[in-house]
Amino acid sequence: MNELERLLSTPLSDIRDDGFSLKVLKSIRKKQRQVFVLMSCMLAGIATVFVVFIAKISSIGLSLLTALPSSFKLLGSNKFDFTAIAHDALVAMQTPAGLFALTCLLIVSCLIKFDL
Amino acid sequence: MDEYQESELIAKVLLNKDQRSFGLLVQRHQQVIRQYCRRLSAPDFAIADDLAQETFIQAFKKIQLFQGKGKFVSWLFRIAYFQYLQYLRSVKRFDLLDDNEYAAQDSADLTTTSDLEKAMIQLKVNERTCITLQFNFGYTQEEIAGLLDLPLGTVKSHIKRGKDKLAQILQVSSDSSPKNINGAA
Repeated sequence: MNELERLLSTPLSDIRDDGFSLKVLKSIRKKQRQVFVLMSCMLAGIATVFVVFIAKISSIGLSLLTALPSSFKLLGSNKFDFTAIAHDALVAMQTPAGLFALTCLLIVSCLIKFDL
Repeated sequence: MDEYQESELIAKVLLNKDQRSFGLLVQRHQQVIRQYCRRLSAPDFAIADDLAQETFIQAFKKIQLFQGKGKFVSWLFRIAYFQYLQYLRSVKRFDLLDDNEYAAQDSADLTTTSDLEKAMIQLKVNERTCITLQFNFGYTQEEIAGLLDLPLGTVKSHIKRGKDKLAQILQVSSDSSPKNINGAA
């Protein structure tokens, strides 16, 4: 062993625990809490969007159902406007579908960000 | 603390995410990991403990990836090294990663550190890491290669280059044991 190697093999200075392990455990608990809160928020978000989505779909369905009988009558008279109904349905779907897509995006980015 | 076998503690963490057992593992290894992180992150000692802390957090999160083939502490060294590389990339300190240029560190204000520590700062991260693992923690060059995912030749070359730089900076001899550097690339 040469001079340099002897120098390099000098033991590194001691470092006391000084609460380090407690700090590590605290951060682990904090991260776990963060993940728990985040997951809860995500689940609540998904549930809300899902409810809104279902409510919109059912209201569209209901309006279609109520509109259909009278529409059938109108069909013969050539006054029935299919495009108007389709347009209304698309407009009504825009918000919940957008919210749903945004929530999915948020979830994916959170999963990536927090390395879950 | 020593009444528990390390494998027993790891199993408890793995199976139950037992924080008490993990706390004992942290207590057991915190000193070497913090020493290593200080050496890695020198002269920026402020981030050393954050790095060590993040190392243990990652170890807790990814304990299922520990295959039990090597020592647990070796796995921690590996995590710390890759955490530090990630940190360097995040702060865009590519100059400390590249091997093509001598690291220009300002060590003039480091009056509290020894000459060796001052000289160490002037090495590249990989040189510093390989030298520290070999001389301070007793790993062989083959083990270091496995630990850092580097080819053996590269590890040898990092060690040789690092030692040459240190010898030059510290004005000491480094050529009395040529066997150690024979295989260097």
